[in-house]
Order: sequence, then structure tokens, then C-alpha cells
Amino acid sequence: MKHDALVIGGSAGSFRAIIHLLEILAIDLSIPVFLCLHRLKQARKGFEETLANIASLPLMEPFDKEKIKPGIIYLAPANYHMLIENKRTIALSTEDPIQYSRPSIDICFASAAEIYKQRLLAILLSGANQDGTGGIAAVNRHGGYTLVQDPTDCEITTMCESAIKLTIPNQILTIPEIIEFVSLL
Amino acid sequence: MFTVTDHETKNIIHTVSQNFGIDLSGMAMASLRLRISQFCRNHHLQSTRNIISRMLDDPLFFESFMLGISVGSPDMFRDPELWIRLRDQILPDMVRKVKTPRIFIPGCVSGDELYSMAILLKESGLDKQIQLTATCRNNPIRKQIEYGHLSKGRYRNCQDNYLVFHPGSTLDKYLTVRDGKRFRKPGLLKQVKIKVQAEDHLNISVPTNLILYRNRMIYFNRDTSRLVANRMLDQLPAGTIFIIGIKESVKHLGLTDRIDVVSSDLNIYLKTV
Repeated sequence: MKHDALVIGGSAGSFRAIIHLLEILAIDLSIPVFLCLHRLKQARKGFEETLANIASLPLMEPFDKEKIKPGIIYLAPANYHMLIENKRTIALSTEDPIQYSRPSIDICFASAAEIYKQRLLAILLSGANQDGTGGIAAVNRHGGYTLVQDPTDCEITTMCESAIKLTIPNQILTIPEIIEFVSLL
Repeated sequence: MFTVTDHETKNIIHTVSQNFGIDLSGMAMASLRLRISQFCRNHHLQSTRNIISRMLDDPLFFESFMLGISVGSPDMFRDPELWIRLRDQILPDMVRKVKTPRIFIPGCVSGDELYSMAILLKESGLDKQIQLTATCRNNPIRKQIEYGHLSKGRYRNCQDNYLVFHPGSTLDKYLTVRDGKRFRKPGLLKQVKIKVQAEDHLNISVPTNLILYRNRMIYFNRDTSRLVANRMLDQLPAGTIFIIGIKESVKHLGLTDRIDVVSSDLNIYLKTV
């Protein structure tokens, strides 16, 4: 295994891809998965349950100071930023939104990049603002591996176009290609 | 995003402790680094050396730094279902049992929880009956609570929350506009006592019936958050209602043996021992 953690970020138009990705993650995957999706701040119920029913691995919204375990998908809670405090612990924060977003993909990716460095795999999917670009840049800077969804394959192109314009992702892939990549983890 | 390293953050923590006697070592490291990085960006500081030299030279800069790295609850009426439960059940039950109950809100920074509670009490006609007390770390933060303005983004979030809490109404009646900026009406805090106290050494000197301490312990590391939570409970009589943030965990805080659950969904508890 080349990676010690996987982070996935997405916003508007990413749900279809997320469903596929969660379905095909290997059930014996031995790394943690951090999922940061823009979502309605006041809809606290339903989203986690929906994704948990689809996912091949256990999925949960972490509490602050949740211990990180391999083979678990951690979904950033609504209206909180999710940070990776160290290899053992998740930290949450109510600081101001970044790019109008809380949870912020930038914060999640950048904090994970600080901890996992070149052992991090980051995937950025469809979305309607520029959140995620700073996160992809941070993962690149720390030597991690970055995949960005091909904008021609995105329902909404802004997020991936921004990341491609302002950073150099390792690969730009369509959803079927991302799924194939992830299925081999 | 994280332009300040762990090492630089530790240097700042050391400087603040040595020169100002304020211990930041109990803070959660990732979010503290993020806030110091943001502070550097906002003040166009190229390195943490600049921060250290300026804070040693200029007391006002140090105050501004401490304000900059302090995080408040960002929105009034955050988690509106909690405020609805307080209004419709918790507070009416409380005033039936206690003649003049007291509510305590420690560690205020932006004052959003404090203003939310003050508005709730006013709208419920309980502002004269229930004594509301709050603490904040220092006088600049107190000034920010009393006179700080609501940014456009925060105003929109607060208004969204308030509309769930009080459908068809508007927060605007509690705000004034000056120079294009929105401020909370100072009269809202007329009945409130605000004390200056260190958050990790709280002294709850008056009998308290409800303590609202939401999303504060997420900014402490595990050991400090456990210490702060237990010190707080040590000072509270059995039966005190204790409310923490929706994504704070009594299990992670080591409190499960000291409390009964009122609402696990909203993180409302009763102190037992």
C-alpha cells in the first residue's frame, strides 16, 4: 500500500461519483478515508445514514477528538471544519467558513497533508466554488498524490477547473477512471 | 493554508508563556496553527519572528494577536433545534423548579451564544427572572462582545438560524446599522454580568442551574479539555444542566460517569456526581 490515508472532497454535482466511490472501496482497505463534502448546515440527519447504507466500509461522522482507525470512512459533520490533528486523532472546528464553506475541503486536505505528507492520496470531485484548490496545492507541496476529476466529466466544473488552473494535479481523470484507480487500493 | 510550522507554533506558545504568563500549550495544535497562519496572512506578516518581535514591542499588537487566535461560536442560534428545546422545554421546566435560576456561559469570544440566550430570555419573558452570567478571557474580548460588528457572512448565517428558531421573524430588530455595519443592540446585555476570567481556571462562584459551554473544548487538546470539563463539573451542584457542542463527546471528555443524558442528540446533560 503506497498510501496511509485517502481524502475525498466534493460539492455540487459530486454525489453520483461519491456513491460509486463508496461502493467500490475494498472492504479490507487498511487506511482511513476522510470525506469532506459541502452540505446543508442545518440538515444534520439523513446524509450520514444515506452514505453509510451505500458504503462498503463503516462510515461515521466523527466527534471532536475521535480516534482515527483504518478501514473507517469519516464524513465531515455539517457546519464544522474537519482537521486531522495527528495520525491518531480528528479535530473539529467552528472557525469561519473558507470559500463560503464549512466544512472546508481546503482545511481538511491541508491538515491531512501536514500529517500524512507523501503517503496521502487526495481526490477532488465536482463542485461550484474554488474550495479544494488550496487543499490540492497543499497535498502536492507535501509530496502526496492528487487526482482531480476531469472538468468535462463534472456536472459542475468550477471546483476542478480551478484546481487544474492553479495547481498541477498528478492525474486528471473521469469518474470511471477514478473508480478504477480507487478499486485497486 | 498552514503557513506556520509546528516548531514555530511552539516558539510562539513559549514566548507568550514566558513574557505574558498565558499558557497556550493546552490548545489543540492543528486549529491553533491554522489561526496563527490566518493571523499572519491578515496582518501581512512574513514569518513568526515578526509576530514575536512585534508582540514584545507593542502591547496593543499582543492584544490583537490574542484576539485573532481566539475562536468564538461563529453564529447566533447555531443549531437552532437546541435553542428551540431550551425555549420550549428546558427553561420552562427550570423556572417551575427554581424561583430565580442562573445560567452561566463561560469562555465567550464573539458573544454569539450570549446574545442568543439574551434574546431567547427576552422573547420568553424570562430576562428578569433568570440571571445570565458570562465570562471572557480579557477586556479586549469583552469589548468585542459588547461592541463588535457582525460581518455580512455571519449576519446571513445568524439570520438563517434565527428563522428556524423563530419562523417569520427577523434578527434585524435586535441590530443597529452604523456606517454600513451591523451591531447587536447593547441593551440586549443590560441584565447580563460579564466577568473576565481565564477559561482553563474558571471560578463558578454563584449557584448555577444551567451551563452552556458549546464548541469551546474542541479548541483544547484532549488532556486540557478533560481537565477543564471536570474542573467545571466539580464546581456545579448535582442537577445542573450541562450543554456542550453537538459534536463534542462526553466519552472523549471522560465525563460519562458524572452525568445523566437529557438529550444525546443535542448533547444536553444533567450533572450527577
